[in-house]
Amino acid sequence: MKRAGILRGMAYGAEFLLLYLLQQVPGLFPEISYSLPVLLIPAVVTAAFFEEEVPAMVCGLFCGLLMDFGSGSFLGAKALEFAIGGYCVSFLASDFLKTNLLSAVVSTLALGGIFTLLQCIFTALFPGNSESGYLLLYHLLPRTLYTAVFAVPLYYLNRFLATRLRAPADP
Amino acid sequence: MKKESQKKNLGKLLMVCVLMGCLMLSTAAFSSSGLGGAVNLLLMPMQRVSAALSGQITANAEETATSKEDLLSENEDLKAQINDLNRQLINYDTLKRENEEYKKYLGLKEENQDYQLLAAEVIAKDPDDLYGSITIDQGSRDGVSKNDPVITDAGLLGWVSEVFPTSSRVTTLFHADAKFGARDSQTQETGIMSCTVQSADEGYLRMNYLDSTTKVQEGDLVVTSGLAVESGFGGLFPRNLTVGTVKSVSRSESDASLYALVQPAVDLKNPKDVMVITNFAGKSAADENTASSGGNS
Repeated sequence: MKRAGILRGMAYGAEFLLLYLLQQVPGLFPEISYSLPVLLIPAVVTAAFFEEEVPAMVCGLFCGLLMDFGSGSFLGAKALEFAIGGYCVSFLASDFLKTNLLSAVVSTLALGGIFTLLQCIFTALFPGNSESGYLLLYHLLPRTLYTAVFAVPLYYLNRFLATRLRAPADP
Repeated sequence: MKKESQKKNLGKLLMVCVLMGCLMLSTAAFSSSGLGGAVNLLLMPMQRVSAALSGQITANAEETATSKEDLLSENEDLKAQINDLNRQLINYDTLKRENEEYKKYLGLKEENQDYQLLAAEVIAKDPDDLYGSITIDQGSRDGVSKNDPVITDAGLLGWVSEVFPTSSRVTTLFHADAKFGARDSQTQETGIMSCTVQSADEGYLRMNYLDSTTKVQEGDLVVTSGLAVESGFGGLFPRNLTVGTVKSVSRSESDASLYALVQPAVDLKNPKDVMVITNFAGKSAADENTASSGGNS
């Protein structure tokens, strides 16, 4: 039981690391409305659908820290966002949401939207950028939509990992 | 039972929140480059490999698509031979291109004996950054320091905004902090370069505060004036680096001055091979100014 959990954790870790590297490769994904997808958002959301609150939070924490180290801004800011996001999605998925593709895509859109609003507030609105509205409309919202597309393959990938790397007695 | 478990989990979430809050406060108070540098040290080789693989895959995909008909008509040995030759040709073309680029930089170096240039490759682009900053494969171990100008063979690209031991983050001229002195090389008129998100989306920079009787016109070449701006990124660009060409001149929305839309000479959105100017005449004075003012970026 424990072995399966460790294996699953390692698989998620490798997946998140690979996605982090992929999302940073220059020119790999085409820019849509000046935006590139943030693959770690759907990765955390879809993993949270198949994990309990604490493992989902750890997944979010790992992805958030990767983003923090990559961005060079406040360490811990993204980690906090992603950890709370992973926890909440897992909590909602266990009690209120059906575990299916549609729920995963809608959750990715919702969480991506919240992250987008937070980024707009803290990196554009508060520092006094007069173009916050433009940034939100033409950069951040298209990025959220673009990112949500990747919830489809990642939902199936994480479902595969969660079902294959789980002991029969696991919840 | 379930409620108790949820309470425990919530406690763990709160603990993580407090920990991350402390981490944020500590990085706000002290520099984050130590921990960030250590992680970047681990990630950099992987970023380098993924960037190289991506380039190779694109090249191979193009190669397969263009010679598919020929390959179908030949046997397996010839396929391998052709692929091998093509690979050699790609390497040859890459080396030839690099050689030509270095020749261009050689001209720049001859014109500016004081420049110390360091070649670097773009290994990552942050999708979460609003202004599209990039990461290069040279860091403090190679002599890169904060605010060093970054150029391509066509002209100015941006500046080093963060330095790790083996990699550095480069902010391009499309960033809101990219304010610096510029000069029209034909009329010698000076202005302040800046950029808005909208003008960046359209692919232009703005040369502000031109006099209402300005003689700046379409097609003029704009170069750096060597002057720093107080509200800029905190560093200084050397004189006469190419910024771009004037596209149009219009009246400012906020005052009586005019501004020129400048098309950057460099592809600021997709740079590949760059050079870092690690030293130039006047850099030490700029560094002292930055240190005394506490920096601005």
